[in-house]
Amino acid sequence: MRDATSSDGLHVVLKVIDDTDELEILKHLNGLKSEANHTIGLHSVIHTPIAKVIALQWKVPLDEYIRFHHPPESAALFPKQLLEGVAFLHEHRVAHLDLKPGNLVVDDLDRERKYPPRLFIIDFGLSMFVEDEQTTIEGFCGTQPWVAPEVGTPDGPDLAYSPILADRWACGQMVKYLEKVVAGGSQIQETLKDRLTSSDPRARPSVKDVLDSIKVE
Amino acid sequence: MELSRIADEVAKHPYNPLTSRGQKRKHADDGDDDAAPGDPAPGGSTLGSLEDQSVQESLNKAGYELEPTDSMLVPITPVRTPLLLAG
Repeated sequence: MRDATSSDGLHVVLKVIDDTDELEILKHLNGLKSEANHTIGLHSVIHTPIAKVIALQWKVPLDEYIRFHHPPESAALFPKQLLEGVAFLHEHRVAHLDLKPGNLVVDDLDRERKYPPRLFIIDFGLSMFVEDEQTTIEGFCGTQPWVAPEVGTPDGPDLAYSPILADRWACGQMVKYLEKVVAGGSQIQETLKDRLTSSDPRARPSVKDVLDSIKVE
Repeated sequence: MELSRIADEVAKHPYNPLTSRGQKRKHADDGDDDAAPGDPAPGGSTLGSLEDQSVQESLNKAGYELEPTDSMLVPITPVRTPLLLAG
């Protein structure tokens, strides 16, 4: 990946893509206009002689945001925004399969703080369309240590698992991480977070149910 | 799981996504393997390279100007290199 500037002056990230579902998923999600959509914006697709390259909106990587920007109080919204973004993916039949802090970026360009910083989800290189949580796949997928236990290990045998349920586990771990590292507090019931990260995939509530538990409070 | 330990590790080490995801995708109700040939390589893989001249020419034609990579920058202060994980 490389940073670049477009002719219209936008700061973008260029990424060579291969034959995964990444482009179709990005196009699909970018076509859905919703406040709940936290998918990184697709700026354009460039066809080159040897590869397809996508230009994505540039945002501040989460780790950089944590390290170099003093998180304002509104960063407390990040866990909720993550839940919102993942629930949106699952509602639209997309499993991310590589949810981790490194795949979150922050739009924090509003220096006057009229609007809170907003999380975006990036890197759909391992993502796939699914029917629902009953869909299963085989084979390790993801980045340790943000991988659900049923997914196994890179060197272990290929195990069957639900991508949606695996996403729920990773999302639960990331909510805990964001609450601890960025938000400095929790709006989410401990029991729900513990259920999201249950070792039993079937015990994990949907991300939308966890999100709804915040909304009604 | 100790999240603060994970946070420290993630900050120090460049973990890469991996997949050995095979061709078998099935839905509980259909029982069929709807295998897709040429299923994914690991995320972030680069078929072709942004360093390739023909790719860069196409990008320039499309109106994109690449920013310098880190290797083109001269460090003016000592840089701590992250430890590589064994194996």
